[in-house]
Amino acid sequence: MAILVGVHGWQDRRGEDTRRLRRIFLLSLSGHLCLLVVLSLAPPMQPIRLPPAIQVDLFEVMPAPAARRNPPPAVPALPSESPEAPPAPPPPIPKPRVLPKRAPRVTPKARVEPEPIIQRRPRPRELSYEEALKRLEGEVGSELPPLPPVPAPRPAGRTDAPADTSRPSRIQGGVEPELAAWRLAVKRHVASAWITPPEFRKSGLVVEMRVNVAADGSLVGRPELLVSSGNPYYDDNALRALRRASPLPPPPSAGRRILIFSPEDN
Amino acid sequence: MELPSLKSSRLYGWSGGWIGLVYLMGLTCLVDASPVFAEPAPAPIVITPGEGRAFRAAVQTFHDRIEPVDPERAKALRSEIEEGMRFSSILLPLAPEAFTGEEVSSKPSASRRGDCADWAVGGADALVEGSLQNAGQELELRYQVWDIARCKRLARGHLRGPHGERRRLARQLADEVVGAFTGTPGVAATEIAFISNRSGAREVYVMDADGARQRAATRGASIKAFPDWTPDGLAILYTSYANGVKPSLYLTSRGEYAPGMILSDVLDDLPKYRGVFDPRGEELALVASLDGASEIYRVSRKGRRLRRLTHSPAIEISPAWSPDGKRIAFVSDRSGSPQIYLMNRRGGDVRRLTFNGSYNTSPTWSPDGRWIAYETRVEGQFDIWLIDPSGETNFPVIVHPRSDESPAWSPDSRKLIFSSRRRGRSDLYVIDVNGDNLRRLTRGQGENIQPAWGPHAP
Repeated sequence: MAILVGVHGWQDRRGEDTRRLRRIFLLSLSGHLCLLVVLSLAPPMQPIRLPPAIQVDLFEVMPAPAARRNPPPAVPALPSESPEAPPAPPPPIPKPRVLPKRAPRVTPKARVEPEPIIQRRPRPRELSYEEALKRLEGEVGSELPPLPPVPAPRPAGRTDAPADTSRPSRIQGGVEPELAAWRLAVKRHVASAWITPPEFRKSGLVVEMRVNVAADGSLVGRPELLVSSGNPYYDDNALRALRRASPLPPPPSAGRRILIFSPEDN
Repeated sequence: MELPSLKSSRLYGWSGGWIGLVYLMGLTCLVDASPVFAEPAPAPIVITPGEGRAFRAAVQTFHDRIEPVDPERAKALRSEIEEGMRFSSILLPLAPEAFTGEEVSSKPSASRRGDCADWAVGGADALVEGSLQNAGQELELRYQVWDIARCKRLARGHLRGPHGERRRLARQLADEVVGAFTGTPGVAATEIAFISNRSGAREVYVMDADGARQRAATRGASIKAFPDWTPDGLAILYTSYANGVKPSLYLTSRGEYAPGMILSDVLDDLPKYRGVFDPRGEELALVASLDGASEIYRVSRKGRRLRRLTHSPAIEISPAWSPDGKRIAFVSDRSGSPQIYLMNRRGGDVRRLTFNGSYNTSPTWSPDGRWIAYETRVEGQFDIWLIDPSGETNFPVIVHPRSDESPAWSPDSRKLIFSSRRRGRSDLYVIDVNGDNLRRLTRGQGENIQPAWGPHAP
């Protein structure tokens, strides 16, 4: 009897456990079904944006800047000190004389500038967003569709929304012309507003900031300092440049962007 | 038998829970990886400097609280502040016509936050406002410096000095503003020592950094040479031939130091051609002649711990300390021609620095340690070049058909002063290290040579 009761109890427990497993299985199955429903009803997949190499390609298609000054001549490695037999010095560096030797008048300033301290290269005229886009279109050919109208400003809080898919997203070769043109316009616009004293040029200091750009180009909130240069005055100077440059050219789509202030092109 | 039943049901319950958790984690990963919900971060935009190099500064006319009120006093002060800014090349004063705000500081202590947009429209990057009043027997300037773009007060404070030194106070304020924007103060309030024979004899002279107020610091018929400031700016060391043909070292002081001959007991039988204070002011590098060849020594300011640093039959001259006091640049002709060498403060680790040109001399180390300026002879004339202490980068910075000689750095490493014969006689010129803003400081009053730029005011 005891055995029968035990078997009966075991069968009851077995039936209860089977029911529990069945409930879990059904619950999991229903979860999967819900997920499939959500995925099927979701908007179409946003095309993945291109990697940072876009910027490099763009500059290659832009008009080449004016010839920059030759870098200072390299000095060969210093030999070890040897008073008895001093090493023969290398041929002297050609001396850039500006005025003829006979000229008696005073030149207003030295003609040769210390390249490692100051970077002075002629910059092309600053392009507006539309000009940059037109020039880009001319460079890459006629594959670009006509420029669609600039989207209306989006309400705050939607800054990370995916871009309008009706706009031309990319051209043959993988370049997004609107975004590339905007990046170029921002680069030149902020650079023109960045007052950079000589000691900050060629200093090797780099500061990285994140800004939230509204559809009309204005900055939403405060710029966020992501990576400090280690020099608070340099960081402040970059912030100052951002404030001076605000509003930025209207972007193709609003959102957060990262700006790197560097004395040199990397 | 109940116990196993309970255990078994709990076991299945926990198992079901774990399975569900694993499913949820998998779903979470799936959702995270889906491009439907996450957009890849856009590539950063790299900004490189444009052409802008100088900030525009609006200097308000300071509120004059001194009785009786002199309307010209505050205007003169403002003009002097603006002069100091122009000298820095970092700040350019904004013309009052461009002001959109008040021209006179009315409430120096009031916040300007509400006014920043107006000043920005006028093109101002900086706003300087303040007042001037009496503080006992002295003149006091109270000031505030505003960063207009960020609408943030960068500095506030006061400067005090005798009423007769208003010009110096104004320049100090200009230097403070430069420091508030860059971290390195300007040098408009500093002084420059040099040698001039305008009175007939070669004497030590001192002038303001912009060439104003040139006055003699020594008197006498003997020849003076090689002025060098003490690091605290309170005295000038120089070489004098007062003892006939044997030169000695002397100090001319503003009171903190006893003027007159120094180190008379050190190498007393040798002529001492030149002395240079180390950056701490505790030791000197000496050039003394031994058996007809000059050598470099190191000695404490009180004449103790004499140490010979060079041991060569060649001539060693022109010692220049590195800013950290650990190395000395000097000139030696041990290779057959004058070249610049480096050694440590004990005379070891000697290495040749310059290989371009056959005659390189007068090295001077920039206060920031990045460069050594020196003069090099090309076609019989001297030009001024820069070389970095590693010797990897070497280039001309001041080039002219006439000789440019004896370079010296400003305390902020932004400017060089040098003597030049570009107008016949030797005059002193100052230039930004990037080649901009050449300014002539002496004008036709004898020969003016061997400049030495003093430190910031103590």
